[in-house]
Amino acid sequence: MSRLARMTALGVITASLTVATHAQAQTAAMKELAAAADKEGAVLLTWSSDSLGGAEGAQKFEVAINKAYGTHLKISWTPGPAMPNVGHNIAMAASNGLQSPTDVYLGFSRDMGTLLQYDLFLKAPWKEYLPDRLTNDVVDHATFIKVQSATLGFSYNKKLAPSEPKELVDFLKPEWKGKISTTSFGAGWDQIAATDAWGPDKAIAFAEKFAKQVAGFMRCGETERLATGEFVALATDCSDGPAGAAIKRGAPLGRAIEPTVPLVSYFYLAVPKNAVHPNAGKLFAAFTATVEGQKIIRDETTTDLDIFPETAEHAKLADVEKEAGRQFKRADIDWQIANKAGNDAQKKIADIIQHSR
Amino acid sequence: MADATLTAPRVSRINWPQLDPSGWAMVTVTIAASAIIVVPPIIVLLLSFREGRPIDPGQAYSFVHYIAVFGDPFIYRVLLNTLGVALTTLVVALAFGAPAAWLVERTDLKCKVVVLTLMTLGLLIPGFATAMGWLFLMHPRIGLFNALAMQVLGFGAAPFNIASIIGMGWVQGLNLAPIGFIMTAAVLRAIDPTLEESAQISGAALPAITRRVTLPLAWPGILAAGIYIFTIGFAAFDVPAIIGWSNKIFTFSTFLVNELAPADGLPAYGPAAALSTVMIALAGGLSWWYGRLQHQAHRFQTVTGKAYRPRLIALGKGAPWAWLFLAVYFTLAKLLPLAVTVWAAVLPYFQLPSSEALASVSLVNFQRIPWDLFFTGARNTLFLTVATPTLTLALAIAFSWVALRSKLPGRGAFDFVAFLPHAIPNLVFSIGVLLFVIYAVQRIVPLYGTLWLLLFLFVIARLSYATRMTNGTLLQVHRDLEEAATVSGGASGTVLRSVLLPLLTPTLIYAWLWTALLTFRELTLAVLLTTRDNLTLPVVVWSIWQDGGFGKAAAITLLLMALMVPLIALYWWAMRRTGLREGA
Repeated sequence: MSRLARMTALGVITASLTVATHAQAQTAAMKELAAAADKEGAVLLTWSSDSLGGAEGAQKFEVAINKAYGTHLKISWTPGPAMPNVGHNIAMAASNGLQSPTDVYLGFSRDMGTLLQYDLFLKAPWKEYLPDRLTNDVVDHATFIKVQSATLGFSYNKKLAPSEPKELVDFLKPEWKGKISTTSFGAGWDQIAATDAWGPDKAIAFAEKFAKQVAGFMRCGETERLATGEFVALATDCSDGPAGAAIKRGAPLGRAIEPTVPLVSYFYLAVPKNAVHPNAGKLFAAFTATVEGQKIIRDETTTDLDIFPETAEHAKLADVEKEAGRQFKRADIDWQIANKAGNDAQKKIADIIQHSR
Repeated sequence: MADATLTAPRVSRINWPQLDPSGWAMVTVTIAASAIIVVPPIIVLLLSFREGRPIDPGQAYSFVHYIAVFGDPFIYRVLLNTLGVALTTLVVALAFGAPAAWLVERTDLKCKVVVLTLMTLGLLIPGFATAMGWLFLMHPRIGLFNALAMQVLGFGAAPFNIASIIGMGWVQGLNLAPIGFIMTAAVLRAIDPTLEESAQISGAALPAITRRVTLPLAWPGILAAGIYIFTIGFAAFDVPAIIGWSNKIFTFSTFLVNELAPADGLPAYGPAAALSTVMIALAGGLSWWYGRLQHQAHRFQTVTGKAYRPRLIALGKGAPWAWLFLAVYFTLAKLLPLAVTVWAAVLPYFQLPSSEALASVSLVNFQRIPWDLFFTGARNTLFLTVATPTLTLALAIAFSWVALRSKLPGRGAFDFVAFLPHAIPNLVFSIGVLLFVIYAVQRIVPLYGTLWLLLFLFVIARLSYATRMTNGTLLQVHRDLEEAATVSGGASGTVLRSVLLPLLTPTLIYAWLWTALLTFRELTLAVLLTTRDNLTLPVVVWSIWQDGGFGKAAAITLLLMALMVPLIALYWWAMRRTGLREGA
């Protein structure tokens, strides 16, 4: 199917689902939730400015949610630290009887897996709110809502790349030496080292060679450093969002999914038990699973959730899976917790990368 | 009775000074503030011994974090890197700051207010913008200077590498030169001119007078500036984060951030706290050194009841060289980073100058500024900018008076306490305060998430700088003046108000404005404690920049600088009013 035909089909599916969703009557549980949220009157969000569109995303969500449910919510976004730190702050506040700094926590599957032991988040009858969307595939532990997919891959400057990288091993070629950056904490190496992918031994052996090619470190969001040519590639990156946003601004970047690591992991939303506006938080989290919610996320960050058939990630992954000749495994919270070999290997690999000269 | 007296155990007697109510008020404030200041470092110390995280209950205490941190050879490389950066920072900052201060305070240089204002403006340019600017100038791959050297001068390889320890120290030093300037300027201003005049009458030339009279007199102030700059250089974050990481060079602060604010996994407070004990030990050493100098304070007392009017040295034919020196500094430290900031603000994504880049220039970054956040941040930041220096200076005067003028037993310890917040990395200090507030204060006073919490933190953190300034000047005020006032029946409060404060006024104005400026741009202290209700503008800028919005962050930075115009104007006015004689 040509790209144009695929995009047209995607548009048709989106349009018909939008009409269907609007036409669909809200469930009693959703009406009740919306009424409770309306009484609370506000949603307070704290995460980084490139997550779910930051301030602009919050504004769009406010308009869309109030329109969809007839509420009068004021959605305020505040820039916050990295996801693990926000989670830690919620835990500290909860253990001291204080209110959470955010009504909705956004975290990666690893963060959620770590915080699971502290029992910080509200369970809810999510399926009753949106029976067609908040299914068992989307909700983990009756608590965590998948909101965006993240594939493991790398970003690079298309103008300056000495050759087009197709997979991670390409970065071991001599022409890439001294041109690659990576994250100091080893983003994604837990997945590479998982038994579902390379396994720990192969990953560590590769990291030893890869570390010698690396010129320095950068954070996943610093795509400007790729655009200027300070580094030619970031391998591996955290998701396709930052590069996608930079490409949207005109930066000459490319982004590729690593074909030998057939995993899709997720960003999740959860409502803290100590949230100031728990019902409004739940309404917000539920809304992100709607067609409109996913569209806002896609418009703001260039990524969405592959589980829904109308999304861009769904189409993109279908292509990648077809090319790779196999289906990618969905690495949810339980997968992250079970990936002990990968998690242990990541720590060793982060040390190798940081300590190499 | 007599037997009882003879057999009574010997009790060491504390000689409490004779203080009036004003004196005791200052002592009480100082003791209370000291008690609060030592709590965060104690929490950091406890964290260094406590296994697990603060949110994990029932953890044991052990040396496990120390063993893990100091058993890792990597940490010694980190500390060595940090020492290199801090020393280079110190040298560069004083090499530019001290001569500039001398030119402004001790010579007949024209347009001094312009020099002062430009020095002040430089502080407002965020450290990350400066660091990015230098990357674009001297990076081995994309640096303009390197490209010119290779293309025009025929170098085979890039001659400059900013992504090095020396490079980081150079950039950090240029950033901190204004602090070296302001701290030494205050001291130079107060030097008794008769000593230099006597030397001149005795036939000494200018270099000899400078070396044998001016510098020895200014030594405590220069040393204070050196200690202050060294510790900032040691704990600096933004420049090492942008330049160091790009060359796999970890310093103390980037290592700490890796531990405390990881992008993956929960914060590892224990190892960070264990490493921070090194800083606390260093602070102790530096404070002890500074304290020893204070014991010999009488050697440096130059402001007496006699004539006090600094004599200005005629620059003559040296004036163009002086201006060249200042022009080089301003170009390197201010103009280039400012140009990079403006350039970034008008581009959709950052690019090196080219016709293609010029074609994409627009105001889109300004249009996409989150204005709600901007106004909230601006309101909070302005409140802190006014309240922080006012409270800090009030506290600093009390601390300096108690440490240098009261005869309170153990008064030297208060100066050590006042220096502690500066010596402990801001990030670690913030965590100490955060835990203190959440676990102890919150049940009594709901401070968490409020602007008052930031005010509390900022005042404590800036006390070190303020007390260095008030100490430095108080050291130079001879006790004769106060004793004369006391003999005339003045109470401590009256002496402070009528004698000391007028003499301290120039320093206080300097210190107030500088504390205000440092507060205005403060990021590291605020970043962990900021919530929706106490958001500050630098946190907004940093957060947006960190997530790839360099252009939008640059646009807000320019607005932030525009907001500073009234403060700069006030600074200008104050400088004219407090003794800078234009072109004198």
